[in-house]
Amino acid sequence: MVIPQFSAWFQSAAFLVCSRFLAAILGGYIFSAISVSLLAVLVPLSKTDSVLLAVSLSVLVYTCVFIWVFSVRSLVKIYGWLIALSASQIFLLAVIKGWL
Amino acid sequence: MKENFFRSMTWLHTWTGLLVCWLLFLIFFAGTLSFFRHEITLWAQPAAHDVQPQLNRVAAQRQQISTALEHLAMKAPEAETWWVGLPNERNHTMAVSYREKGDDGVRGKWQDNYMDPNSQSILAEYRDTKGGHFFYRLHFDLHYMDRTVARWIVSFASLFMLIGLISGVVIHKRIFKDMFQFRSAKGVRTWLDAHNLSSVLALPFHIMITYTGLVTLIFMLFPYPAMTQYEGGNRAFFADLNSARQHADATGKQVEMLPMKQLVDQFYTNWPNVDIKRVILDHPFDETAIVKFYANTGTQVQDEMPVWVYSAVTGELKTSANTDLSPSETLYDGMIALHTGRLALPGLRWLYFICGIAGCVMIASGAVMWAKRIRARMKSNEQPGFGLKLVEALNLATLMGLPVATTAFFYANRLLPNDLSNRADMEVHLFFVTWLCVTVFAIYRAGTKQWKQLAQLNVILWLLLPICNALTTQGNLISYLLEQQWILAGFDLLCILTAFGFFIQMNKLATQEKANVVGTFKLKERNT
Amino acid sequence: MTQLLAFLLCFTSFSCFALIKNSHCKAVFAKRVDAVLGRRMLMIAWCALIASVIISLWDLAGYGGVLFCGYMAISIILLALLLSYHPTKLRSLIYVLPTLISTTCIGLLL
Repeated sequence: MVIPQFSAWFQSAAFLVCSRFLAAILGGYIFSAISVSLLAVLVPLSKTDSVLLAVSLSVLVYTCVFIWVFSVRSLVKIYGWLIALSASQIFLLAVIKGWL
Repeated sequence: MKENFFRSMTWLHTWTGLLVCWLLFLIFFAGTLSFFRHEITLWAQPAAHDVQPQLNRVAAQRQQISTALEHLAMKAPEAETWWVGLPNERNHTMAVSYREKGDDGVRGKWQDNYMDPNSQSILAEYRDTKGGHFFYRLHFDLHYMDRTVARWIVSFASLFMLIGLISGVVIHKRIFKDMFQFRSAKGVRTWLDAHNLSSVLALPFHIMITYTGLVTLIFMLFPYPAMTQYEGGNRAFFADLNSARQHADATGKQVEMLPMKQLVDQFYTNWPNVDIKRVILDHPFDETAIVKFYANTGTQVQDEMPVWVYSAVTGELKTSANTDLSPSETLYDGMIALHTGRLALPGLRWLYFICGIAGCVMIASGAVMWAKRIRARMKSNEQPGFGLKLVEALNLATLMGLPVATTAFFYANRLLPNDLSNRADMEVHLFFVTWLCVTVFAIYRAGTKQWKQLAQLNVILWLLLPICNALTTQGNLISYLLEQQWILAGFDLLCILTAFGFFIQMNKLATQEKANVVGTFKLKERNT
Repeated sequence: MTQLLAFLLCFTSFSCFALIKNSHCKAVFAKRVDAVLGRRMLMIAWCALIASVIISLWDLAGYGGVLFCGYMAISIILLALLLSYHPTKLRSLIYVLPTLISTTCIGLLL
């Protein structure tokens, strides 16, 4: 009884839209925060320069992710890619900075 | 896949746009006005109207700095900081301000005074007003709320604007094909044309201003790169970036400073012919007293001013910053310079202003178009839903209410008595109260008739503004033109032009209203 | 003066872009676009636009770049207004624009 109701709720338009916005706004934010931090560490520039370059590009990254989230059909694919990429990047960042 | 992409982008464009359009209109409107923030401030300050510009501005600065610092040494030896803002092309007065010492962690209050650089006397009867700075603050700090919260909200809206712009370019495949098309008097079509035209004609500007707008707040939005690179986050990063920003606390040990004239002379022997924008002296008469000379960047695409820091006690050069920018700094700082437009000479400033107006038109026409489309789709006997009513009310309240509120702010500046306590805040309150009144009116009903009435109100208010100015101050439009006070004359002319714009709108709405009445009349006849 | 030339070139470019569109061409000259002429106009348009960018950048560097964006905006506003309210007035541009550009050039050289 409960399971079909549950799956119907997951299929509802309101849930799909909200979830997509959540992925775009919050997921995109976290993803771009991690990737620009990684960028700042990776670029072979002085510390201040790398930070300035990274923050200048952060809006670009965020916008691209946002648009991408709305252009892909499958929600599972969106969340999968976002989580996988964020996780691998933060792992890389942790290895480089020696946080582990 | 491709069709699906266009459909999802259309959906995204519509809903991101609609969600934040009223806030965006406020931001764009206030931001556009802040391109003229010093000009508005000048208008708001009749005591400064007659200050003549300096003939040899840069050469006169050396004398001005010494005079101002000596004045402050006499007047406020106990202050925390002295601030000397030198006259420039846009602002002919000289600011000689100081910040009082605060108690236990609370920073002291700024005491602002202004000097006529020609007579080197303090300008009396300065009225307490925010002038153009109100609009400047409004466009990213909003009002009546915590600054950080407001900035997050504004950033969120700006992000949606950027998304809206990009998705807009994607969905209008033919955007560049119909770029010059404007079909007037064709209902929704006309609004669509206005929307397309105003976005395409200033598309580089819109994208630039939105992106760089986000970059101005970027260290609040994305502190993470600085946090990964520096233990102390943003604070440590800025200390490393700009050594002149480092703030040493006063030790409290009183010492004699060098004579002000000697300090200034020393600076000028090292760097003659520099155009100075401001001079700041921290902790006067303390052993840590430092004096900072900030150079004017002029028309360079650079926002951070080059700065030289001297010890005010020994006179040695302690540090200098921003004299030579690295590529990354140039990128970041150039973006901020493009956003603030401080580099712009009058010609470019007007282009900025026109593009800003185009942005307002784009947002306004988008919002109106949504409501018109829904209305057009409705059957004649159908009642409008809550969403449509809300959008229509908000459209009327924002698009027509903001100009009304702006005039209220200007009238308050001229009509409130000078000795009123909290005068500057009263002006701002009046701005918002007026806006609230219009909103209440719009919630009551938001049809063509109400639009016409508000357009009429706008015509009257904007047209009376130059007259009110002429009655309450010494000058008027004719005297401004004769004495070549272009800024003040420009303000009056722009008011008249705005009134004329609303007049055209009023006439259009009147014919539309007539057509509607005839239309419903015919419909009723047919029904009976 | 240099910036005036940049603006005129920018305006020329956008007028060409507008006039090779069938709807606008019909409004101005009351006939369809000639295919060969259209291609030539398109080339002129791009050349003028690039020349305009180069001139404003060469004259004032970054500041010129910002100005150029403004010139594009003004050109489009002017053209849109002319095309929707007085399309036939655009015919005179064929003579006016080259004259203005050449006078500005001569003025610059002198």
